[in-house]
Parts: sequence; structure tokens; C-alpha cells
Amino acid sequence: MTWSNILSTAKGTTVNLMMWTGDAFINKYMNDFVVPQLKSKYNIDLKISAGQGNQIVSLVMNEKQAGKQNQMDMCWINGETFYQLRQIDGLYGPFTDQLPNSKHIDFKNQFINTDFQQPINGMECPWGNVQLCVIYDSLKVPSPPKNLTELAQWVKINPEKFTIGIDFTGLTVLKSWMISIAGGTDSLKGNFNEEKYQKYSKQLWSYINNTKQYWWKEGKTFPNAVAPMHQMFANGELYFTMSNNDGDVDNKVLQGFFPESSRSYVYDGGTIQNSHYMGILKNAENVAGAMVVCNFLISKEAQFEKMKTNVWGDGTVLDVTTLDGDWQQKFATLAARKYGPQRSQIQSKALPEIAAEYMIRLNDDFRKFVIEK
Amino acid sequence: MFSKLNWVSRFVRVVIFSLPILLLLLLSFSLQWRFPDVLPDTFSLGNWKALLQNQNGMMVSFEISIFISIIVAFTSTALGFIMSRMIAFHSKKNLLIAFAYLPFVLSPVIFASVLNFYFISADLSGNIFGVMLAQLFITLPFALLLFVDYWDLKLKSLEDLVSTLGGNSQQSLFKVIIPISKNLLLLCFFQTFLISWFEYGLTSVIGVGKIQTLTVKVFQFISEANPYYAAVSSCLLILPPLFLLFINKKYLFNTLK
Amino acid sequence: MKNRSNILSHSFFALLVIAPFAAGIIYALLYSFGFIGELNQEFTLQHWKNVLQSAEIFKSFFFSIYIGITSLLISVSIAFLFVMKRKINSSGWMSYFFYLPLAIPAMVAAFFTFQFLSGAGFLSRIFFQLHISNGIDDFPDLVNDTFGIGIIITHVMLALPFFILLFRNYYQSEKLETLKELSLTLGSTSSQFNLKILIPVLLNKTFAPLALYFIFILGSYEIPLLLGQQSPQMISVLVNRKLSRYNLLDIPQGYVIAILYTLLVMLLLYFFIKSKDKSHVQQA
Repeated sequence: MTWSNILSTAKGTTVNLMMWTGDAFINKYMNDFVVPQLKSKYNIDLKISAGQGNQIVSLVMNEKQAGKQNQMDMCWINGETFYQLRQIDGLYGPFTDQLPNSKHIDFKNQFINTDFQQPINGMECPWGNVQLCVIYDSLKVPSPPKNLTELAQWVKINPEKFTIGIDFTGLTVLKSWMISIAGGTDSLKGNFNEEKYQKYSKQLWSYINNTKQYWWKEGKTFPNAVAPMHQMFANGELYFTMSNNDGDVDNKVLQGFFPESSRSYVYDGGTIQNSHYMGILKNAENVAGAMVVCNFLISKEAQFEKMKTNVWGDGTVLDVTTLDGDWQQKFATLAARKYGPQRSQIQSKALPEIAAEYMIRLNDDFRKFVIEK
Repeated sequence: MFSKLNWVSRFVRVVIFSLPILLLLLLSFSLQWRFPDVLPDTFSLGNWKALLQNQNGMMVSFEISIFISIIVAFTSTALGFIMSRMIAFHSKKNLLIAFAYLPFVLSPVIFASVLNFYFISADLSGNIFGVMLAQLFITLPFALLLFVDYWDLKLKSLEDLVSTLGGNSQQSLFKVIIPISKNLLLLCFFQTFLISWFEYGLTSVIGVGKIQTLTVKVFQFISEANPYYAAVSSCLLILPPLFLLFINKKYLFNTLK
Repeated sequence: MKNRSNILSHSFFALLVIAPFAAGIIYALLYSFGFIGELNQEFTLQHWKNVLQSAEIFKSFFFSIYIGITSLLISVSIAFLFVMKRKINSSGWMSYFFYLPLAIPAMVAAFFTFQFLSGAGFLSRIFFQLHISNGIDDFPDLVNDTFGIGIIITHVMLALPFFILLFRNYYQSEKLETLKELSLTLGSTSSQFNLKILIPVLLNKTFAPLALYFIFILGSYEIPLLLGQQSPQMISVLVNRKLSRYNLLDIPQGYVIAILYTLLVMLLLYFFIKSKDKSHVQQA
């Protein structure tokens, strides 16, 4: 099908998107910008349903088992969902080459072309690129701990003020720590390695178990999502929160959610940088519509709007140098951050995502060896 | 002096019992309310305006919820009334009653998970009919249990009387039985309405997040840590039950005889 | 005509009441033994073994039962106090306020509890302003806490008006007021009357709704989801986590737990219905 065929097929249809809706500003971007734009430009009704990776996967598994088409046409996914959807052969593709706007995507970037050590091969469309940052209140924490040793000392002096969530963001922190423990950037590269996992995860758990009595609620429980952590940070119950998005602190300060003394940084050992993607489901009813939506989401207009710190502050996946001079200028003015570090400053501390099995195992074992202990 | 004390104690009790609603109202009118402020810095109509302008589709959710709950309540009351007659005079009455308790064994969210596959197979997942059917699975047994003790020999002899006088069963149902059972039918309608109105587990799983009733919305706002919108949508959720309470509190509370 | 509606009633009963439950249990059973499921290959007992060998599930059962019993005990006791002191007028504007919590769904109640009792919540702010506490850390852990205090408070809040009104109705219908006057005239004290007559009579009469309420608390989902700890979790939360976590191999375990839970509740229901029958017999 040519692109103009796809466009005309998609016209007047409804596209069902399942996505994580745990951030008010992301929802606002979708509802107030993306949805109306798709309607006016392509006459597409985008319907958003709340659901995270696992819900998507179990829905697709059930549908496959029942031999039915997917109710969702597309979904917002991360590496572990990408891995699982590939595992059950639930994704449509490759399709990114067919999207006219994909020519501007920075496919040479390993943080974009590889998702949790798997080449994306056109099976999912990059949407945003972010790096994990730790957010702190500079009035309460003048010099934040830069590594695990300093963190252990800090929590001892300031008990109850630090914790990590047990959601995707928290797991990204755990992965970043495990990479540091294992010796840095490339130490866990490649396929899942049981031996390495056993060795380094054990060290990770003993580190956490040795310090968690000084964590929030004495490490007996952990927040189940990043949203409540942000709220506790805003209220001063926690001095640290975390975000998978390095632009988040600017976004939340500008929205008046976080105090102006909020700052963010990355550990000396680095933090994980990754991309998030849009996937189209294999038995989607409206593949054409989903492709038009993807193409719109990677348009310079949509990427620019999304990157504005007062909108979402999500990093672009476009190679800005391939755009017209005007647009290069526009993106350049966006990049300046007031509260968070500039991307250029933390790029050298960016760790690539490790294989998806690491995350699945860390999630299980964090429960087994930390929470239930 | 005594009556003054009495008023104070009354006031205290009123505040305690209405505290949840007061706090929710307060939250719904605030934009920023940080620790340690006991009251929000500024009061604003902003959240309510957003609601009325249907940002985030809250108004649509309100309408969908009303629609679903009315249909579910009507269907389960009507079916429950007729079916309960069969149970009441059944030779295995107790066994049937025990069966009617079964849907309450599993909590709705788990019940939905084990039924999800069938709903998908029947193309009933992710649409409003599926959600209504799923809710019927718990409201209908509820109606049955409510009605089953109502059918007694007195009612039966009334039916017999109508048929002796030459009326058919339809006449006896619509002209005699339903009019004299009006209050119980209304009670059942409002109670099943509330079960449906408050339902979250079945609706969220079978609706696949596509059928965004108010409870689904409230949950979404809570999980994105947006207490102000969560409060507004909670207020909307409480409104119809309060209205029912205002017209007749008996409808809210089944005395279980 | 009669016959037709009777047949329809039967088939609707089979279709809408028995079939969903039976189908659900069959699905869970098949899944838990590996007969169906996208990642299941063949019959296996492994999922059952995994569940039965893990301490998690037993902790979860005990925690759920603990929450159920504690919530019930507290709300029933307070409701008794209300009835004994006769602090409820059945009519008048005051009575409306007793009904208020009945208009609140579980999720909203949990949200309220969080806003009211969490470290940065309303009560903590008042304590701080009154210099009773020094801030968020100084305020006791009442939500997401080890003992499930937040969960219990919320359940009590929801159950209390229900129980008060329930007891009051029986208080009136069983003519306990007259009985009380009689026993006082005969020389017994008020507390003797409460202990020997009021409480036993009310408990006996309201046994079925109390038992059902216990099951309702046992299976509650929204309240422990928002106010509970990561471990142990109440049954519904645990099952739902198993069904939708990163590890797809956990899914069959979720179904195993769901079946075990169903068995437990059916057992409880069986005893309840049996004892209810007995009390019917006694009445007759």
C-alpha cells in the first residue's frame, strides 16, 4: 500500500490506543494536542484506554487464544513489553519504513535503534527518548549522594526520606545500580546471563537490605508507582523522587507541582537511557489508522510540542540536523533546561538498557529477597 | 444547658459522618494544597469548570455511567422479580439460593479475570453491552436474593384468586402483583443501580479501559496522583446516591427484613 | 403461559447465574493445570506446587482474614455501643448523616482515607499546626502500614452505618425496648441486659448479613490496593498482581490462588447457610 492509500483508508476511522496514563501532563498532551490534531488533520478519532505493558500483553494473549482480532490497534510500549509481545508474536510489522516522517528519526542512535538489547527492526516506532534522573530538593539536600556508598551514608543521616518505586521507574533504578555494581556500561551487554545475574543481583539485594531500614517506612513497603512518589516529594515526605524522563523536573516545576528548589541529576555510575515506542498489534482492526497516528506522533510538530518543558518535556527521537533550518532553530531553543541537567551533560553517563529478562527477574526477586524479607 | 450540650454533640457527630464529603469538596475546589496548610491557598472553580467543559471526558463518563446503571438496574429488577418467583416455589429452593450466592464468592476483579476470555470470544469485551452483561452477573443474583423471601403463600393465593376470577397470568402480574410490590421493586431498582454505579473490577477488566465509567475515571485520577480531579470525579460519583438519600433514604438501605 | 415463563426463568437462571461462575472456575482450573494459555504447553502440576510451597499465599490468606475479623469486630462493637446508648433517631434530619457513608463507594472511601490519614494528610496537618507533631515523619503510619490500619479504618467507616441501621431495625422489630424495660423492672442492671440479652439476640438475628459482610471484606480489592502494603497483600490484590505482572509465567499461579480462595469462601458460605438454616428451624 502506498502512503496515500493508507491515508485515505485511515480517513474517518477510529484508532484505539492503549497507554500508561499515570502522568497528568502526558495525558493532557494526548487529549489536548494529539487527539484534536488527528481529528482536524486526518479525520481520525483517537480513543485512549488506560493500560500498562502487562495489561496489553495479557489482553493480546487472551485475544489470540480466542482467535479474535485485537481490540486495541496500537499501544505505547517499552522494552519489556516489546520483548513479551515478540515472545507471543503479537506485533504488526515491520512498518516504520512506510511512515514518511520516519526519515527524520535518528535510527543511527543505539539508544533508539535498540530496545532492551533487541534491534527494533521496524517492529515498533520510536516516540521519545529519555534518561533516568534522580530528582531532589536542593534546599533540603545541598549535595546529593553521587553513588551507592554515598547514598548509604546519606540515608543513615536522613532516615525515611528516600525510597524507590516498584514500577517501571523503580526497576530502571535497580538496573542502573546493578550495572554500576557489575562494573559499568558494557558489563551486562548482550543476552541475559544467569551467572552474572545471580552474582550481581545478590550484591544488589544485600546492599538494599543493609540500608533499607533507613528508607521510607523503614523499607517495609515501597510506593507502587511514580505518581505517588512525586506527590510525596512535592509534600516533603520524601526528599528524592525519580523520573524516567530527564525533562520531568522542569515540567513539574513549571506546572507548580514541584517546589522551585527542585533539581535533578544522574549518579556518577550513570543511569539508563532508553526510548519508548509505539507498537501496532498484529491483528489490529485498523492498521492504516494506527500507522497514520504513528506518523503524526513522529512529525516535527508533534515531537516539538511534546518536548516543550511546560507540556511534557519528553526528548525527541528525531535527528534534528536533518530538519529545515527553522525547525533546527526551534528545537535548539527548546533544549535549554532550567532545573534539570542538559542532555549533553548527562549523555556521557547514559547506560544502555540491558536484556528484558534482567528486568523481569529483578522484579520477581525484588519482591522475594527485599519486600518479603 | 442540657440542650446546648446535646447540640454540640450532634454537631460533632454530623461533622464526623460528613467528613469524607467535606474533605472531598474542599479538595475539588483547590488547585494547590501542600503540607502543612490546613486549608488550600486558593479556592478555585477551575476543576469543576474543567469538568463541565468535558476536559478529560468526565461529563461523558457521567453519562455513560448513568446509562449503564439504569439499564442494568432495570433489567436485573425485572428479571430478578420474575425469576425469584420460580425459585421461591421450587422444590430445591435452598439449593438455588445457594447458587445465587456464588457470584459473590469471587471479588469482582477476579471474577472478571476468569471470565475475560469468554467475553473476548463472544465479542463482548471492550464494549458497553459486555460491561452491562458482566454487571448483570452480580446484580441479578442480588435481586434474586432480595426478592426470594417476598413470594409467599399470601401472594400466591392472590394470583390464584385473579385466575379464579378469570384473569390470565399477565393480568395478575401487571394489574395486581406489580402494583402491590411497588416499594420492593423500587428498593431493588435503586440498590442494583448503586451496585452498578459503584462497580469497578468487572467494568475495568471487561471494558478494557475503553468503557470509561466514573469509577474507572476516579481510579485513573488517583493513580496519576491528581487528587483535585479525583476529588471532582468522586463528588460526581457520590451525587446520585446522595440524591437518592434525599428523596428517600429507605432506598439506600435494605433493612434485610 | 405460566409454563413458558417458568422455563424462561430456569434457563435465565442457568445462563446468567450458574453458567458465569462455573465457566470462570473451569477456565481458571484449565489454566492453572496448563491445559490452556498462550505460554502453557501441557498438563502440569508445577503451578500448584509453586503456589502451595510459597509462604506468600498463606501470609496473604492470614492477612485477609485478619483484616476481615478486625474490621468486623470493631464496627460491630461500635454499632453495639450506638444501639445500647440509643444514639440514633430513626427520623429527623440527623439520621441523614448516618446514611452518608452508605453513599460512598469503596474506591472513594480509600481515596478519602489516604487524603485524611497519610503522612501529609489532613489530620497530620492539623496535628502539625497544633504542635502535636513535628511534621510528616512524626505522624504515625496509618496508611500503607504493616498492620493494615488504613484498610481497617476504611472498612469500619463503610460498615458502621450499615451495622448501626441493621441492629436498630432488629432492636425495634424484636421489641428489645420492651424487653429492656421489663428486665429493669425485674431488677437486672442495664449492662446485664446488654450482655445477656441485647448482644446475643442481635448477633443471632443478624448472623447472615454479618457473615456476608465478612466475605465482602475478605475479597475487597480497591481499598487494600490503595491503602495496603506491598507485602503481605490481601487476596484480590495478590491475584490481580499475579495475573498482570512482568513475569508472564506467574499468570497460572494467579488462577491457582483464585481457585484456592474460591474454595475457602465456599466452605465459609456452606457453614453460614447451614447455620442460617438451623436458626430458621429454631425460629419455627
